Amino acid sequence: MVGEYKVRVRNSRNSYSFSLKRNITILRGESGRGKTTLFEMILEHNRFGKSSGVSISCDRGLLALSQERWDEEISKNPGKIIVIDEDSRFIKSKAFAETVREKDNYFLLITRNYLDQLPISVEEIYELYGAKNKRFRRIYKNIDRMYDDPPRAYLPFRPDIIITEDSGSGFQFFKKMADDLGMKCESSGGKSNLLRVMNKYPDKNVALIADGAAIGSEIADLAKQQSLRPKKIAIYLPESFEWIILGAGIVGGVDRAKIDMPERFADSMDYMSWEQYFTDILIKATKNTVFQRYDKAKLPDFYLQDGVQSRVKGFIKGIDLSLLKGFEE
Amino acid sequence: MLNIFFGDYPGENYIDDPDLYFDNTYEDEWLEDERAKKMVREVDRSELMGPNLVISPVLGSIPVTRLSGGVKALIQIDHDPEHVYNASACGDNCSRWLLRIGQDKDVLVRLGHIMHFCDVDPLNIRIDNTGEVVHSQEELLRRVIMDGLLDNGEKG
Repeated sequence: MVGEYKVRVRNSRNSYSFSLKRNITILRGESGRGKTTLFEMILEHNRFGKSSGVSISCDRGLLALSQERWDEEISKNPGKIIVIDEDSRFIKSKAFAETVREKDNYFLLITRNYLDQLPISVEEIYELYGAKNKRFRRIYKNIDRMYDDPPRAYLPFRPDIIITEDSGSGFQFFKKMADDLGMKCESSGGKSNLLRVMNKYPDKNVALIADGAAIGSEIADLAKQQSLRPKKIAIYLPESFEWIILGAGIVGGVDRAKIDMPERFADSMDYMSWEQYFTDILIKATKNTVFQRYDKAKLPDFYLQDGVQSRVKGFIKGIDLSLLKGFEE
Repeated sequence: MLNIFFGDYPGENYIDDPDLYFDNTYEDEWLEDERAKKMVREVDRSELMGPNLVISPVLGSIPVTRLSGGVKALIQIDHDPEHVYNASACGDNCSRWLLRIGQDKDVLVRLGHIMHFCDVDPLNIRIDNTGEVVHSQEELLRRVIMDGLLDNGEKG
């Protein structure tokens, strides 16, 4: 399933309007704001159609999924938007993560759970706002992919330490950059360890770099830690390292629309997340060029050249990666 | 004091879905309590008129079974000491009420995420997994992360 879908669900007392454009979207937020009511309205429409009094407007069908035979129901309903309420304990299971993979569906999950088995994008975590007419509002706000809603006055942020989630190519890239600038760069070896590594440096200015396309399970705690240590933590969440390389124009021959409008091309049946999609684009775009051939585990020297590093620095606007005046190499 | 167990609570008296459990077990007297009325007013922005009626500005007159999962969890935590409830059913707007309940009595709840208690300072929360008492949001966050209390099993 590809594309962006506008959805409107309403009855005489409530109206919900939102758009979905990735395979997984999360709705969470405060208690008592109408999340479960949205689920129940879709469920009633599924059961009784128009005679329920609920109207649904969307180019795709919506299916409110309950506990029973959830895996069968998903398999029987390709092409639909599947909505799952927070009571559904199965969404925390590995079996559910496996079921979501390669499905021709989008999933709207109403949950406060972290769901670390699923690659959830920081961009697709919403809360409800509004009284009768409710809309989805993105919880984590950004300026040029710097989260969570950092005051513009802090940017660009000058770090003492860069911590990357990645331990392969992305880390090698930023390690070279940090070495040249006299900064420290450390890999957390995965998203679940970012906070622990960050907490090793309570008095330093720390810049975190992680894949926004899959950081959803960790972002709540990262944002909380950031709010408790103002001006000391900057969180940079590009879609992925490969998205940076593609977005900065380092590799030629790639259709720009595929980078700027991934929702049109990143089929949920082929890619569990946009991180996988951008990696696939970069691998395919460089496979015939020996010196550029992208490898997630080992970064070719081409990407460590000064010219490439300089273009990426220009692309990452929120972090100050300039050489300090008087810096001695 | 408010006691919080982080991660998958192993006890047989654990209630994972307070919303459903409430619908089948609530007692009328819980809903005549002044604190329950205040919780509903603040969290759900509705008026709890009694055991059979809630007035919601959006939904109109509704039964108590249509209260939010968060406020149902709070009411049960306040009135049912026999069970350990999943407080991850509660949004951050319930956190102040959890602390208030904990000021009056010892309660144990389970969390699968780190709730935001920032507006209250100092905190007084005992982490049941380790027995440690924390007094600020940062201390709570640091302890849960550094002790890896949400690392094992499925979060949530």
